[in-house]
Parts: sequence; structure tokens; C-alpha cells
Amino acid sequence: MKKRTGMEVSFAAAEAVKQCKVDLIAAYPITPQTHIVERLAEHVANGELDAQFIPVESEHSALSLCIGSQAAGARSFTCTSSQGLALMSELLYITSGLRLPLVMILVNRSLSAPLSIWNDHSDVMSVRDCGWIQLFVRNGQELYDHVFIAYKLAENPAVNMPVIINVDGFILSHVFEPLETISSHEAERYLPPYAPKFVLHPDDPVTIGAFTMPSFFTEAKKIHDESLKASYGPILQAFQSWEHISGRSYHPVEKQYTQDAETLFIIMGSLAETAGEAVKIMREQGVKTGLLTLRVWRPFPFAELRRAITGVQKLIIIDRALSPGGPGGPLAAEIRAALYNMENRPQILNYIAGLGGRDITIADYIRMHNTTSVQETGYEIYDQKGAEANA
Amino acid sequence: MLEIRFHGRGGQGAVTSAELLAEAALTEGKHAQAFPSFGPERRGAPVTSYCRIDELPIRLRTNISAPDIVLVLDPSLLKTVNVTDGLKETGTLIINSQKGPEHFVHNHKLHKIATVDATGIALQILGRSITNTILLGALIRTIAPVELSSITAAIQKRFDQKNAALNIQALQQAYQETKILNMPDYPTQENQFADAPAATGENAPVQPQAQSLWIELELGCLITNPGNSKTYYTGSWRSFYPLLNKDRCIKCGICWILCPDAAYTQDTEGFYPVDLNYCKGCGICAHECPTGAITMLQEKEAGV
Repeated sequence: MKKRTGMEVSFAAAEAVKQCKVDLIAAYPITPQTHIVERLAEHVANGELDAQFIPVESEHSALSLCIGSQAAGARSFTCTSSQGLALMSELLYITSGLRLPLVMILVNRSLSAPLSIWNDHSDVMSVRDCGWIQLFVRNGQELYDHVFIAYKLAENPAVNMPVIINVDGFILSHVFEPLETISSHEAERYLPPYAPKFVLHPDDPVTIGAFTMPSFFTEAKKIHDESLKASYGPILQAFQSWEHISGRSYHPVEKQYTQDAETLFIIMGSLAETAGEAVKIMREQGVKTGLLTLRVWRPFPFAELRRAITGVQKLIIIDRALSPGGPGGPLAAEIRAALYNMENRPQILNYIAGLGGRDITIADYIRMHNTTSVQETGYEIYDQKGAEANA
Repeated sequence: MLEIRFHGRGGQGAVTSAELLAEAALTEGKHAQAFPSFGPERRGAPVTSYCRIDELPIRLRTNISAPDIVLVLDPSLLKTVNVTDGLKETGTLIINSQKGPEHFVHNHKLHKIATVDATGIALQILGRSITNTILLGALIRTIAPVELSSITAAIQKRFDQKNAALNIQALQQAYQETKILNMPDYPTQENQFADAPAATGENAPVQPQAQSLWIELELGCLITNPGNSKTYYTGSWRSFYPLLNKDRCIKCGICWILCPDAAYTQDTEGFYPVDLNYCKGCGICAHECPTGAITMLQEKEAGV
């Protein structure tokens, strides 16, 4: 076994960004993203990382700056949360439309109002259609690993897409836990220098971000969609080559206890770890349940998801965001759409849970599993206090 | 339903004329709609507007691709835009031209072709080449989708008293001077000498092929030959050209600064000659020249 190091997950992320030798970091401080960016500022200040660190006046400027630097051929990094992401939103679409392979860590935090600094997935779900590759991680090791994977993937000439890595705020970002790091030699072997096909340079000028008439706009969206879907293969390749370096293997849909399972939980992000413990306990009691986690949210892993749920009678989908007045949670809505044409599709329960930092315990997962509810409205906003009172 | 398409240049009032026609139809108790087709907003650029008139409410939200009537507000458009594209065989073509309608007969059947020297009337009465209301006069004379009195009412509602009077005067003169060719009466063997409107030159608008075009787009729709607007000759948009009187020119360069299409460059003597490949004839230089050294002169219509 490799040597494990204890560190705060945010610092592990900063370490990985440093090892990826980024040329530029532009960010504006927002809780709970701050530890990642502060640590990177230290790395630049003390000479450990040879990069431009640019403190900007807003997240809008942070992403604007990264678009410019990335277009000029600099490997760039930014990081934000919640309101910061909302302020970036118009530029998110520009980054992906221009096919700039930027990497951003999004430390997930709920959107105001009411004001909350705590974790849920309402921020990333508000920009679901921004056209980036979107990944979710469950623990510090995965976050560290996915920084390398994200740059490898983004800069793959067959991909050329920006990547968001989602990490749950506080509940994961501020946890001190052990993880394995790779050597700088291994990092260099995995991630070659950034060599874009086109850069903004006066000696060989190109036009980036030109206007498009109706006769071409649809084609521009078509190629974006096709390219994002086609990134699925390179995602698998990036996971495989990472396994060669690190020994750790990743999949777009992670499965636990799915063999002969009659029911499956589906959840994204760090709460999948608690859910996994709950499933383990239920299995010990003879309950045929299992767990799926979507690591890759965009491109949506349709085929792998359909394969994984074949023969299952009931899905318990836990969303960390709400579409008010809509179909419940975005994860459940998309899975329902993905399964609609399947024969013998499973019954679906959708719980909106863990909003704004609300803790979800093992007992809660077991309670969700044992409910007899059929959810006439298609979803239920999970209320622990009410559930406990009724128990 | 009657579908009418207007071809003009940015600033000539194609949108206004479609709206005036719709307004006139409304005053007669009919249903109507008028709408523009917006592109890059530039004075002189080819623009299209549309008008539909019907006895029943109109529920269409699409461009008009098979019009009953086409009005061409500027003769120079015939060189660059396929104005008769989709025009019905029973349709009517009305062109602002000094030439007679027989010059515009070509190989497809039409009901009527009409011409009127709208630019001449506009310069004479309005003092500038805004031809929109004038073409409406020709339209009423040729096919009369609405009554003349309805159009004049619409003009009076739209413009102030002085401008309404001038526009109505111009419209009435066009009504008198419009030359109409009834195609069923026209001997078909004489069709071959026509100036066929066509858009086959290098200035023809690009018609993208629908299938698989997306595959050919560069990464991020990036343009690998920047500055390619140099190959876009906006000079074909021009109805007027600037003439420099060197005796009055003080070489101040105001024309060079303000030209929106960068058509002016300085020569070795310090004068600013205009490149007519790019001058679209907007007249900003002549308007701003502090010594009045630049005069705008009307381009001759091809073949006149």
C-alpha cells in the first residue's frame, strides 16, 4: 500500500492543481471555496507553483479572465461556489461554446435566499445545460484524482471541453482525511504540457467568439452536443490511464451491492458514502438493496445507467436540489426520462434531501427504503423531523 | 391570403412600407401582419420585410418563401439578391427602376411586372432616396391589395403633417408613372433579352447546405482566416458614391475617421481617396466633411 497523507480535502485539491502546473489562477473568494484558492495563492507566493495568481473583483471577471488566458494557450484554473457560480453563468456557456478546456472546481453550496453557506447541489443544477463536462466526487481522494483526470480529459484533442468537478462544501471540502498522492514525475507522465490546436497570438491570428447567423447557429449547437456525447469514450480512457498511474479505478456509474438487488439508491456526491454504509447494514439484514452513484453527470451515462438498473423493481433517487413547482429533483427527472422507453422499468421514489446542509443519517436512508409511500406527486421533500415523529 | 415580400437596403424603409401596407389593410377591416427579417444591422445592407393580408386571422410565424408579390426598393439589389426566389407563377414583381418592365422579363411566368423610377421621384420630392412609400404607389396601381385612400390614411397616421403630405405626393406621382406589363399579353419568344435577376456572382449570399454542415465547423466555431471581411465587398450596396473636390479638401481626415466601412485610406499626397469596393454610399463622409469637399452622386443604374 502506498503512503497515505492526512490533509484537508481543499488542500488536497490545491496540491493536485499545483501538480498539474497550471499557468494561471483567477478566482474571487466565496465560502466554502476559499481554502482551495488560499492554498494556491500560498503555493504561488512561496514559489512552489510558477503561475499567475490574479485576484479579481468578481466571479464574472474570474471566468472572463480564464476564458482569455485559456484562449491564449495558458492552462488555467478557477474555483467557486453558489452565488459565485450564478454570477459566472453567462460565461460558462461562452467557455464551452468556444471549446476552451478550462477546469473548475465547484464547491457545492446552496443558492440564496434564504442565505445559506451550507451544502446542496442547487448551484450546479442551475447551470445544468451550460455545456461543460460535469463530474461528481465522493471523497478527498477522488477530488485529488479528478483534478488530474479533468485536465487530461479537457485537453484531449478529441474532447476540448471545459470540466466542472463538483465537491460538496464543508461536509467534504473541509474534512481532514487520509489520501494517497502521486509524485511529480507521475503527474508529468499522466498530464503532458497543454498544446492547443489554436491560440490567440498576433503572429498567427484567429478570430474566437464571432457572431453567427441563424443559418449556422443550429449547426454550432449540434456539434457541441455531438462532441459532448462523444467525450464519453475519452472519459473512460482518462479513467483507465489514471488507473495505470494510481491503481484506483473509476467509472461513470459506480455500483455497490448491485448484484441481485431488488431496490437501488441513486445519489450523487459525498452523501453516497453514507448511503453506501446504510446499504451495507441493510444487506447484512438480508435486504436486497444496492447503490448507484453517477460520477459523470454530463455527458449523461444513459447506456451504463440502463444496464445497471435492469431487473431492479424500485429506485430510490435522492436529489440534492429542487425544481420548485416542477418534477421534483433534476437527477430523478433525468433518470425517469432516460428509462421511459424501457420495458419493465422500475418504480421510482424521489426524495429531495440534504438541502442547505441538512444532515442525512444512516437511519434516514433506511427510513426512505422502508417507506410504503408511492409518491402521488412524483417526489417528496424529505423532512427528518416529521419522519421521526411519525416513526 | 396575400403574401408580399419587400427587398430593400437598410435605411430605405422596407420595414416601414410593410407596416404601412398592413395598417392600410387593417383600416379596411382585413387581417394583416408585417414583420422584418433582421440580420446584421447596417445601413445599406440588403434587408427583407414581409406583409400578409387575409380576410381571416393570420396565425403564421414563418418567413414568406412563396410570395404573391415582390417589391424591390433598390435596383442594385437585382445584382446580389435573388429577389424572385419562390415568387409564384401567378405573382407580381414590382421594381424601382428607370427601365421599363420588359427589361425584367425572364424565363419564368409571372402575372405582372411593373417598374417605377422611385429613386428619381424620391430625390425630387423627398430630397433623399427613401423609396418605400413610393413603391406602395406602384403596388396600388399594379394590383391594389388595398385602396389608395387606405394607404394615404396609414401614412397620415404614421408621419407628421409635413412628411405625410410629401410622402403622399410622391406616392401619387408613382401611382401615375408606374409602367405595367401584363405577362399573358407578352409574346414569349421575346423573353430572351431580359436582365435576369440572379445571385450567382461572388457577392451572392451563401446558402449553406443543410446536411452535415456541423461536421465542418472548426473547433468552437473559430475563424482561422481573421479579417476576412476584406473579401466582403460592401460596395455593391451603394446607390450613391462620394466625389471628392480636392480644391476644397484640407486633408483633415474626418472622412477617414468616421467611415464605418474603412473605405478611406490616405495617399502619398495626403488626400483621402475612397475605395469603391467597400464604400456602401452611406454619405456620412459628405455630411461630416467640414469644408463640403465631398458630394454624394447617384450611381447610374446598370444598363441605363
